[in-house]
Amino acid sequence: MSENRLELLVASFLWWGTILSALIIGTGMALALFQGGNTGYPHGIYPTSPIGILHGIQELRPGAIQSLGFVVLIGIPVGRILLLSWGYLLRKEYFLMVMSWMALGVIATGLMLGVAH
Amino acid sequence: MLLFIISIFAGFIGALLGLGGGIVITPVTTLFLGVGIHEAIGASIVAVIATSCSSASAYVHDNVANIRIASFLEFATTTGALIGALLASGAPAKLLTIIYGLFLLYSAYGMFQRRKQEIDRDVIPHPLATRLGMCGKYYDRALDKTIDYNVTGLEEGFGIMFGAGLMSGLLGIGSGALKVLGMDAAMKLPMKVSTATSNLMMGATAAVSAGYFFSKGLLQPSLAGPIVLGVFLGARLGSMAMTRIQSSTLRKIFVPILAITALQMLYKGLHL
Repeated sequence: MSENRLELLVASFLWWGTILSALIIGTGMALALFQGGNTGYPHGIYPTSPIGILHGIQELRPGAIQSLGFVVLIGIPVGRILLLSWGYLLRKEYFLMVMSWMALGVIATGLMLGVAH
Repeated sequence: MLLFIISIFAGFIGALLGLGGGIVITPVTTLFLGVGIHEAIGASIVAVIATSCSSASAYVHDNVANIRIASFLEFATTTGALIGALLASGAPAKLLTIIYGLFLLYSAYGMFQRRKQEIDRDVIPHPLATRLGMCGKYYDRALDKTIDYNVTGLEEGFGIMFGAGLMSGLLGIGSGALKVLGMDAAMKLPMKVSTATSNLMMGATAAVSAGYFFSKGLLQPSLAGPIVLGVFLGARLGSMAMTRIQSSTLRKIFVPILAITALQMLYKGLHL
């Protein structure tokens, strides 16, 4: 894979990820507005587990749809690092691949420990 | 609607200067809209990711953001952020905030002195930077020419990025200003490459905190929704503007913002 192709892939991933999350969040907001501001959950509450989000979406609850949008958004930078590390692997650039994996490892550790500010 | 418009501005500034956008969102939502600090920080963190993704797509596409430098430095910022978060409860926050404020103020002065400088010339590339293919080039629309640049000061840059991450974890700030300064002053990258690469990296650092805030139920959808949509739009506009203005102009915009951030930090530190 050429350097230019990798950059275009990353740029496209970021762009379409952004569009997708904006569309999902926007749909949730529009649905909530259509239902008179009702998100389908008590005020300030939204589903955080995958099962909770899935059930909420099946029932067309705006809060669940917005939650899915946030999950997609938060996942974009992580997906971008994964994509880059895969690109480095294909290009046999092992140093940068390892650096990317280590950054992912730190992010995963932070999420697991729940110690973020 | 007001929130949406403010968010467009936040995204614009964040994308233009590599600061993320939280610098606008948190004070405006807490001071003027009466939002609680936890909800404001949660919304601010997703705004940083939105700014990062929206602007970085354009910057990577246009070769302004350097993905190799980002990959190299991301490990330093994420590690710093994690250690900072682990140490946060026992750290002397007052002292650290004041030191950070003074450092930013000093950096603002240093950048002010170089305000007319377009790009650093005669930079001798670091051997590792050459080996990893970090030196690059981009087409500068404002100057209507291709800018070739070298990368130096990898050790200093890596250290500053670790410090930026550490401050981020310790003090709960984005520390985008420090990231831009590290790349601009220590690694001698062109200002545009520094801000664009900072934007690219910032999403990954913020993802750690955002995941935590989301899972703890601290993201208020009614607040974060319009902010994210506004920031997406603003960041896209900011990235379009950034490629069309000169680096020296970017510095002139960056210096007062940096000084304001420094004074905010000093004020916060003195009143903790």
